[in-house]
Amino acid sequence: MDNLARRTVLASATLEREQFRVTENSALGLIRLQTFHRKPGAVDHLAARLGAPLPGPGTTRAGQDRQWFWSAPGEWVIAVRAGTEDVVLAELRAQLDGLFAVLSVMTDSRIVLDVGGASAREVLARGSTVDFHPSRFGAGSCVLTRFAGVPAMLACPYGGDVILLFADRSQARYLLEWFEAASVDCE
Amino acid sequence: MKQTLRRLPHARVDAGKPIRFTFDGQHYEGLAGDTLASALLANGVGVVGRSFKLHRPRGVLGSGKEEANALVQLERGEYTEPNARATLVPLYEGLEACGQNAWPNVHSDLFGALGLFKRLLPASFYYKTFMWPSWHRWEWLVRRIAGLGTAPQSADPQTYLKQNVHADVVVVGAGRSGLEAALEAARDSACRVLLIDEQEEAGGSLLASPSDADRAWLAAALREVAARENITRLQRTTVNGYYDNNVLAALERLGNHLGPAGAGPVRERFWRIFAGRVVLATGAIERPLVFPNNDRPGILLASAVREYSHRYGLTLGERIVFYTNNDSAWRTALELVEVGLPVTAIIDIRPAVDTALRQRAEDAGITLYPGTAVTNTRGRRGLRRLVLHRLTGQGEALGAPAGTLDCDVLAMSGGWTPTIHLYSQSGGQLRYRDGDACFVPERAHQAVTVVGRANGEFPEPLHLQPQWLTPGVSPEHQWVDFQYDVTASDIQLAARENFVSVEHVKRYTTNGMSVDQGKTSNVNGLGVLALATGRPIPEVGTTRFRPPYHPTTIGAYAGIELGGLYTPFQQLPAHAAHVAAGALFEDYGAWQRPACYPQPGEDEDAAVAREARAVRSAVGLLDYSPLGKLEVHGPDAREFLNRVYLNNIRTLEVGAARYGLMLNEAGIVIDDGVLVCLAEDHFLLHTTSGGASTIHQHLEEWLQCEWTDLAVIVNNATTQWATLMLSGPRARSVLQQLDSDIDVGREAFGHMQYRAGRLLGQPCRILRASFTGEVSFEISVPASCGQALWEALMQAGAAQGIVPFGIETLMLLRTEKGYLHVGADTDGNTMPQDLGWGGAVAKKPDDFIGRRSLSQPVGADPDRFQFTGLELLEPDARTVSGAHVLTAAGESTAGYVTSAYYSPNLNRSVVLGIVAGAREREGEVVTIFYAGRRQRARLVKPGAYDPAGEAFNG
Repeated sequence: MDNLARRTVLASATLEREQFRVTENSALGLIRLQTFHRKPGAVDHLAARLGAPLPGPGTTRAGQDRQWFWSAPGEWVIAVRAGTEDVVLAELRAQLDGLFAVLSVMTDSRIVLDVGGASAREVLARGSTVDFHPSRFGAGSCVLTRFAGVPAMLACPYGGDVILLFADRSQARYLLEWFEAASVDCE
Repeated sequence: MKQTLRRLPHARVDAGKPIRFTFDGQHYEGLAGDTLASALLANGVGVVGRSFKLHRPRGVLGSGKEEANALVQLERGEYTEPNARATLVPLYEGLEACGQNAWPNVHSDLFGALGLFKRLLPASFYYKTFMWPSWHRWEWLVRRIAGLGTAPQSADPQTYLKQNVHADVVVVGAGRSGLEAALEAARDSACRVLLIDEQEEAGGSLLASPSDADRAWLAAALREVAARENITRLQRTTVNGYYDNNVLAALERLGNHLGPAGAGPVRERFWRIFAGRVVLATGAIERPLVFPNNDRPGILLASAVREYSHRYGLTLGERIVFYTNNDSAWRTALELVEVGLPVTAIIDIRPAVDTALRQRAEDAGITLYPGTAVTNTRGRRGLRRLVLHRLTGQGEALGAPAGTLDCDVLAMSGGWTPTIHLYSQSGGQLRYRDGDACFVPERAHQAVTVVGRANGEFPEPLHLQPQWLTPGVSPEHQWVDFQYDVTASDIQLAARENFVSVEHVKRYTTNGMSVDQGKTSNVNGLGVLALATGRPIPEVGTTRFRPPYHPTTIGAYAGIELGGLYTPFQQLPAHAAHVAAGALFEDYGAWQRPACYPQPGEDEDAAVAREARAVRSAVGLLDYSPLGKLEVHGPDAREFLNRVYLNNIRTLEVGAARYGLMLNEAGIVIDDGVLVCLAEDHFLLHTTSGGASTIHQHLEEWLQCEWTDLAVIVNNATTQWATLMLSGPRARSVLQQLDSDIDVGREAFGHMQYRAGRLLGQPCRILRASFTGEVSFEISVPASCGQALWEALMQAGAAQGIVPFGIETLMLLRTEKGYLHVGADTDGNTMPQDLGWGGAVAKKPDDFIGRRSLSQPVGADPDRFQFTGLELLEPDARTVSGAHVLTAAGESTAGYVTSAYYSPNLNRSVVLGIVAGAREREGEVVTIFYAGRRQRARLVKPGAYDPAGEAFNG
């Protein structure tokens, strides 16, 4: 019997309008890093081992081959190239050996949507009370919020009109349908 | 009303763009830029509505939000909208409207005769009149006669959106004050300014100014606003609510002005606005004067006459008379004369008026009636004549008759009421300003500034002399609230009946409770109440305004959260495979899960029965992915879980699994599931399907708030893994066909064991636990492989007779087996001893969440509802979840049926329940009551199927 094949959540379904588009980003693998942040100095020790400061609340930071997103106190999401999770995981485990830190692959539990187009920020503001104005949610911004009624992380790693939306994979179809209804005026 | 054949030259309508519309079935023509009200007036239509209670004929009173009379039913069918204010409906091609609350039409209303019985129908007469024999006997008649418009009978096909926006400064109102405020704020280029205006175009009262200077100023200001990149304008947008934290709610009308045929994809947009500072430039509303028969068509607010003349270019009448108690109406009258309108007289209750104004009026040929009151009006469906009396002193008493005065339009002004509704909603305090007889902002509660007329800053002094009602004549027909037919006599009646609080008087008389929410009636009502109770107005106080300021379409509140988007839904990793297999989906929490997979010709019961037989005899496959999967890490993980679970976790070995119960601090069972020890410092905790988030939060609360010293990290891995349950006597042989490094043989992999490895090239986790009573493997692979695993197992099991089975089948199977389902077989009082876990509690040496509560006397009550099986005694008997188990006397409830199915494997009903003292009463016969029927049942041990528990080891 053939090996099990991986399938993307939305199976190539996208939303394309003149001013707005939503596509599944299947190029990202996701790793969660958690530390026992209540212990004084735990985050500093972690950063020292990693050799770089970790992004603080509401921010994201780019490394050489990975993007770090702050996702909770003592918790970060690390985006890497899909398929390299195990390699990065092994590397991080080696770096953090001896520290109480939990690393877990979470690629399968999340859908990552690229939300773009001239109306992207306007449409996003229909699903969340976050201030998406470029002056407030520009390059390096990252926020955890309730979007369209579901928990989500939104990030703008590079600025511009492309914003990443991370949500539970089980809600991918709901979100796509929600975006379709919410962007009805973006043709 | 006089038909306007040719609009005045300075009007803001487009004479070159005629627009056809119908009102009450009659065809008319208006111009682009008209409202329905201005177009009706242009066509000489005087009667546009009927009053709510007495069906009095009513004409247009105002020109905007304050309109109390011109309520129309707009459009038909699914697009129909009741209570549309004709003054706010921009005219569009093909518009259809009809009057409300009248039969056959507003011009000739059969119920108009009610007006003759006014004295029999005072305020709240219905509370006194329809007491016997019951209000409900009368309700149908009252509802037929009284009413405002008709609700649509079919779903609204139009689309509504919601939008959030943040701004540093939000300016509400784009009249002169609002525009000045917005431009001032926008000087700081970093300041985001949101300028909101409710009219069709910006300008506020400037739109009704005949002054070239005013128009030039407006044009320049709008050009400057457009040039400012940091000003965002929302036109046709009404701010309806002002909430805490400077949050405003507004409704933008995107397509209403185009009508159903011409509207774009979105009709209205509901805005939630997060403001740093708010500037309210909401203007002021003119008040009517209160005098006998002041509701006759042809009697308008002076400000409305000004707007219809200058903005819409209407001539309105052949003899226009003004009636006022302040200077502003004089200025309006003089403006009208300047553009050639026939203003014939000004009646003023004040004995003396500013000399310059008086001189200008006399020069204009206007006859003046100082110190005079209108004491009646004449005209059947339109104003024809006024009856006048002289006033004595400062207007407190009526003097000699002053004759009559013919006219067809009366422009009245009783002063101005600053539009402080939003300010009041924001929590701001008001004070009464005697000089202008109005409430003005005093102390703000939030970051809000009120400017212009809304702040009581009138461009020129009013020199107002209040007159809350006309003295010396009956108050019976002196209207205060035009829409709800509240007269001065009604308020006086309320005062006589000891209603002292303004809030109570409002509700007793309904003054200010109608669609316009008292925009023209509130202050006059206060004045009448103050006179009736002998108190000054500040002592009477004013009502607190609440949202919405103006009616909001319900569709706008709903937005896109309708139908399939009513609430978020979750789909299984193998959703597409279930669709292909013909699953009947049902919602279990947010999850869309197959209830069963009916084959052609099968109903749900038949499908469930077939699937249940297959699982017992062969093998079935269930998508079990929502099963909660929480991973608990850390050196203190075991200690933590030992405190969380009722069970002893200290003895759980690596690779082993244990069923456990979780309690809250009250000792109530909140969840159950299988806990797996993956490593000394790593546990996998299974929760009930759909309970993962709740239990995760429960764990985090204890870690973050109570046991902050425990080095433990929890993460929710529920949706990282697709979990399929392969169950049935042939499950093992199906699984053995898939390439894996895990030995699933009977000896190698026993019940309640756990293995991790690889399956068909992917990481996998397999748990041997059973919720069906059969040999079961709960197989987890990365969620993106879930569909592939489903397909692989169905292919591998084809020769073994594998069937997909759904949640309803699982529920039947576990009920046959007598397995508890927390949430279904427990209620908010269930403690572990009610489930037979008293021994485990006693044996556990350590403390755990809820233990202390278990020792309370209530936990030892012998009549606690306890989990039990129920065997129905009549052949082929069936019952349902929720049926009552009766006490021995048969008169009250002593328990409930919690799970009930007809078992195709046992050919009888299988029933579980919670019954008072059930454990001590085993074998006793009880009565089950449901929907009027009584059945006998015996209390038995749960688990009718395979009581020896051999099947799941097979």
